[in-house]
Amino acid sequence: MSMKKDQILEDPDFKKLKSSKWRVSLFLGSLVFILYYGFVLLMAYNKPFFANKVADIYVGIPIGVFVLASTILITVIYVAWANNVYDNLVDKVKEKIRR
Amino acid sequence: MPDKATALGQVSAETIFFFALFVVITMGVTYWASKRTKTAKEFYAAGRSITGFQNGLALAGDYMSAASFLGIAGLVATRGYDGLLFSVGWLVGWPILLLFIAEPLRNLGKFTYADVVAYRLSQKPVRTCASIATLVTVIFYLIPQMVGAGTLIRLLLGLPYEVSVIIVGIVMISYILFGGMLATTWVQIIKAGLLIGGATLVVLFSLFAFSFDLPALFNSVRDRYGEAAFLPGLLVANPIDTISLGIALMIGVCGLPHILMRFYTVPDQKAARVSVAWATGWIGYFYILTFIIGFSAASLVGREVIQKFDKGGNMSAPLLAEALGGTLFLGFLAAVAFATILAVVAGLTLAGAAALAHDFYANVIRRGTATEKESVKIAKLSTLFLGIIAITLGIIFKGQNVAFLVGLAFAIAASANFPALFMSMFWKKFTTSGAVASQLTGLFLSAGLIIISPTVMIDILKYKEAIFPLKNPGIVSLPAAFLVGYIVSLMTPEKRAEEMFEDEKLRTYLGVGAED
Repeated sequence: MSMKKDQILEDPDFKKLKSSKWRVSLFLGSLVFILYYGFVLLMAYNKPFFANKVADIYVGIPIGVFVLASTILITVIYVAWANNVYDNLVDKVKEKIRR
Repeated sequence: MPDKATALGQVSAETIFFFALFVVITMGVTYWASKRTKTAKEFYAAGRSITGFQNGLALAGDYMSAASFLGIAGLVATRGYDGLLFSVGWLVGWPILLLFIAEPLRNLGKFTYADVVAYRLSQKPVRTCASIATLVTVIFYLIPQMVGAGTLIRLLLGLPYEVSVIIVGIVMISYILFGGMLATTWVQIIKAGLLIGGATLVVLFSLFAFSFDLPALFNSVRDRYGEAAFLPGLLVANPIDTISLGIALMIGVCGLPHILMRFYTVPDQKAARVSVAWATGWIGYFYILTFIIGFSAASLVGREVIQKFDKGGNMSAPLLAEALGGTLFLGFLAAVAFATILAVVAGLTLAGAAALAHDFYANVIRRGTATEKESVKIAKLSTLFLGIIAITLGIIFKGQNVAFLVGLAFAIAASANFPALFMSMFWKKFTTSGAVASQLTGLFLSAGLIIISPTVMIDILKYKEAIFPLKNPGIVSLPAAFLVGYIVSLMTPEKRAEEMFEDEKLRTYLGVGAED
């Protein structure tokens, strides 16, 4: 295997696996940043906004629950992607190593 | 209800029953685990036998401390909406952990995160620094847990403070000493189940009191305490402060040794990944529950009553349970809080023992020549040693305001542990000197800045002004640790480390050659 290591590193499937992993991670990671710091900044600079009501509930509550729920959703999206797409690529490259 | 006498602080048969039941069950689990804990892999990593789902629950059990359960509920009960900002801050680190850290960490390491930092660098200096940073993080995190345990059990059970601290210490040491990671994992799983189940029950009972009309619950809080309960308050007085704390909380999760260590208990990167999603789901769900518990306590128990017991409102969840379900429910919830503390301190102590025995003794002093038997023996001695330190510090810090130490532990985890871990995994030109410089910068800068921050200078030492304006150093110490690691690495090129980086890639991304 060690002989073929350099070939694997240059293999298009391996490169694709690496770059897609980073693309997905950076995209979802920046979503987390935007959600969280958006929430913090909204609280810091637009306090009166929180006095609004939606369906008899102060908007801050659904907003907070939304941030918590989307944080969970982001992890679910990543796992779904990794289990279905990433792992397939991993298997494909591993198969090449074995051959 | 508000003026009813409470059984809080008195010894009740129900509370003792639930406490004893929990200890008996977990000791049974420990006995079962002790027969399966002989080798180092079994002691540190439960033989990598934990499934993704189980590890998800155990991570949640390792992470949700009594401070987040009682503290956030109390914050919401006494201050209102601000509590939600806190819980969001505690959760947002988890996706970052999943997206960047969990899988390569599992693939590259064996028992501790230092395995990964030192992977292609010079073992001795890097592991020495990493074990120091681990121990400091663990001890700063342990102190508030032990002080909380003493205070909480005294309030809930009526036992003297010192006795409570010693009981927690001894039970925790027994789990690890006899059952290693396997027992610790199952204690954390049982605790997570109890905590989530208990909180769900409290919420259902509360909603029942409002005929499942959520707006009615919120409106009753507004009628009593005004609109302010639903608006951002004190915590956002200084946004930079909030952002700095946010950075420490968010990135800190990715550098907490006891959390990172849990990823070695699963068989592969897929299980590691799945476990983070489960953990995030459970913790997020739990925080939504604590939010409702806080408002229900404000409405059904009342801020005045809650603050009579504890200014910070920490007793709001137990008081609410009593108001809803009498002494039986109070006893159950008190036992849940006890279980919560035990599971967290056990995870912390095991991570500290791994740093002492695996990183420092086996790899620095013995340079990897220690036998399996020796390594486990040293790990057990370290557990005993750290357990005694935890008990001693718990007693020394009795009555002190130590809540800020949790924020400091997160700041150190974020600044001393995370940058070195991240650069070691993903940056080719990272070097031994860079790792050492980055870890020491993160450690000393975050600890130093917090001493001259308002948290210590104003709140504890009672000065009028603080030298450093922010309460949490994260926004300064984290970038500084990255920058120092970057510059020092560029100044000290390391050919061997660069070459190994290419080799490492197959392991990082594919898990080829990962420890099994």
